[in-house]
Amino acid sequence: MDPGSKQPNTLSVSELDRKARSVVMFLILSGIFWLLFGTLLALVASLKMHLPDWLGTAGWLTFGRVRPLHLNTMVYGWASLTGAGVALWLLSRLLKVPIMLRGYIVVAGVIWNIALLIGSIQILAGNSRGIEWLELPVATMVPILLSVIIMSASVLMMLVMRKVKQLYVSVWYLIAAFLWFPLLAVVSSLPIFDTPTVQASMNWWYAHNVLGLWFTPVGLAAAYYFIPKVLGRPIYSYGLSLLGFWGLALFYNWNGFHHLIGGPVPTWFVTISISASVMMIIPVVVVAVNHHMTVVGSFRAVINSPTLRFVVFAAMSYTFVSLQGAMQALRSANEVIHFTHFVVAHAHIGMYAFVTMMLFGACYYIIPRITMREWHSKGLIKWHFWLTAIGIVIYTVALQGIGVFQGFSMINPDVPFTDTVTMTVPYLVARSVSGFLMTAGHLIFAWLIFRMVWRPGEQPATPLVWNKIREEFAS
Amino acid sequence: MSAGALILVLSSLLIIGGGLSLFLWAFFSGQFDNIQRGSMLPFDEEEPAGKRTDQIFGDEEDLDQNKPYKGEEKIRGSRK
Repeated sequence: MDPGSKQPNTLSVSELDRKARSVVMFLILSGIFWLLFGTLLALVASLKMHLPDWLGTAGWLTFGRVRPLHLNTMVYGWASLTGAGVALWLLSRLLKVPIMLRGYIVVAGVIWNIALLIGSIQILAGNSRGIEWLELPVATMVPILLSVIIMSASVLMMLVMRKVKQLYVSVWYLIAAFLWFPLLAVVSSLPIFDTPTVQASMNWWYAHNVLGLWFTPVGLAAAYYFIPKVLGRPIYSYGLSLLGFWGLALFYNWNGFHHLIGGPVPTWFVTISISASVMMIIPVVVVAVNHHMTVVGSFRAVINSPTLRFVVFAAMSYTFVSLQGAMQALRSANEVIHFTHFVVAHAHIGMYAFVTMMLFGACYYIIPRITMREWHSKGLIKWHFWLTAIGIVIYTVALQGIGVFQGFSMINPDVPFTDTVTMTVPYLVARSVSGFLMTAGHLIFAWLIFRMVWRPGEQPATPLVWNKIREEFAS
Repeated sequence: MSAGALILVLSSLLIIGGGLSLFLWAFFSGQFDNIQRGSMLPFDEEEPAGKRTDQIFGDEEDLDQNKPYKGEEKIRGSRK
């Protein structure tokens, strides 16, 4: 059997897209709501870093509540919900079956949103769990976990009912992600991590694995689909892509303990983690070479596609952030940059320059195809790209630049601690400026999607993106 | 070792074990029999390889023609 060839009773991609419409749009729109909410929180938190008295009188607006809520809304709201929508759409296309349990997934998504809303209020009210990435009270994590399990069940059903024999590399990533994330969520909710050191170990095991075994697989699955799809050219080496996947599957899950270098945990815990972090260079370089060799020479096709602009930016960021992470995990580097703004910026390259930009790119491809409608403005898409790309670059350069100096000052006993704080202030202002740029980008993105879904005002006269839409308009 | 740390180590092994069992299943169910063929999976009759999509910022003629962009032909040629 040829791969991709039609078996009897196989739906065409446009039929699959039509069936995916309500579920995927619901998940993406929920994600965008949380993106906007989380962006607002991010701006408030960022401004507070250099205007400490601003909004400081009300308890629920203090930094210790706004900043964790920013993280949780972005992780469990924007990236997880939109990521799940993108993942289900990709699986439907690559397995050639409609998304299973569609009604249940919508119900699960509603429950997820409500649980996240209640959890957000709880965090603002001061009832946070006090563990980074896990601030949501366990009572609100459990409904989210159950929602993920419903999606995982849908994924397994799609896998069993699939109409193609061979699994594409994106499918490997996505199956693994939907197996690993529920496991992480279950373990992190167990009430056994009560001593501080064990809790810290669980904390970073969980937080790093959510990034590496949930968001990264979804992001890479999207890259492995959209790069060949937009260029109309298969991936450079399919064998390499599989090597990259199995490398991630075997090496990633020990990485988290490198956050505890110098902490009161057994040395072998940390040493294994450092080794695993360095071993991640193999799958990362493999992915980077593969993507580079596929894209090389097609720069104009990348520029001409809103999807690939974001996706290629995100793929390059993945290489950068992963190699940087492997270096940061070394004890000698870590003793300088630990507890500085360098690490904050590193996390944002991972979650923003890689995951978020990848999801933006995926949305630009998916939404016209499931709604059969056209983006209203090419110019605004370009604005969205440049505002967010320049924003995250300023963010990274400012915070990682000063982070190194901050780190060297902090380990120098001759420098008073207050100096290590005040020296960062101009760079924190630069971060707020970059935050405004990214916020503007997000508002443009939300506006584009609002115009597409609720269709106020004039509609675009000539469809641009997709031959099928063009043919429909012509007929 | 406390119960929590033990659970963490076991969960890590479970994740690796999950990866390994996926790999063994893939190996014995013939997923790796013809690896390079897998690269054609994103394409089908409706959206075949060789056809660009999503060229929204390009000219009308860039959209669906299978012609290399300026300069691309040379680079692709040298790779073959």
